[in-house]
Amino acid sequence: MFIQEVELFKGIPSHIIDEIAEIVTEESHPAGHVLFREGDFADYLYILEEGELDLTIKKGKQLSFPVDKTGSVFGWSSLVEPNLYTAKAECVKESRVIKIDADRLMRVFQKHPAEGLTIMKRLAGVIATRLIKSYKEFI
Amino acid sequence: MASVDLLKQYGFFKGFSEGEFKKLADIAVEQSYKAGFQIWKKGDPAKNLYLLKEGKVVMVMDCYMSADKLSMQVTVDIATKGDAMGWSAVVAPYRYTLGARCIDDSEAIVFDAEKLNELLNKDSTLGFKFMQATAKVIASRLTHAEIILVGERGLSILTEY
Repeated sequence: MFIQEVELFKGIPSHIIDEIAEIVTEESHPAGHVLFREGDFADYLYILEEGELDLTIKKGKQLSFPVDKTGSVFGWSSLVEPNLYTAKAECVKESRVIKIDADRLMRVFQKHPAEGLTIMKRLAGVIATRLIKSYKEFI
Repeated sequence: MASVDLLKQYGFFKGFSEGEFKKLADIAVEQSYKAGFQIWKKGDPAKNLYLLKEGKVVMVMDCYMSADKLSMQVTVDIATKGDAMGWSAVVAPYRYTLGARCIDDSEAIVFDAEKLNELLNKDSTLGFKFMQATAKVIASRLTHAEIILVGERGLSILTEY
């Protein structure tokens, strides 16, 4: 998968995509593998390439959000203060993910603020979508 | 127009420069609301983003328990002095996701969405910082919503009407 196909990066000029591609790694993990836990320091942004994950929050009760669409972005806490993951991310199936170093991505944004703004607006939309899903759970 | 010194009191603007404060202050106005006033309803076009200066505003959703009963407003979150609200003003599809009702006499610094979005796009360094601050507000609302959902306390019913 090419990162410019990911909704978050669509329309971003190719020279900036090239800079982002340099800080990206691909990983495959078996079912049951935990990418991060709630409260962990958030240092990577993730994009699902293939497979399925669950984002889970557990206190008294448990709340789960499936991540099963290619191109889904998760681990956005890496770009939002206080930079702590808000859920546990566990592979439900064998999964391949793109992992982006958040510190270095932030440096790309600072160098190219117009594109940084576009991507941050989309990321705010990703968080808002999860918030709206949570509100629907109230009813 | 709001004053730069007033905006500087808000944690939302952490890391903003003097020039950026000036640009934001130029498009901000101050507004007062009486207790009980509904500032916006769920689904309304998000015309403004607010920073609460005084008072308390509850974020509400309408719940219909059954077809033959009237709706109830359920409090999902609460904004107090210093909080930002109305983030939908800068996030597509630019419609409020909950209603907002004052439960105390309240004062707010108000940013017109059109002017604000124009400023963010024109000055992308400011825009990027503003969107980072907005993402933090949405994330904090999410954390609060999820705490309620996984906790035992649940929601409180504010009004039945």
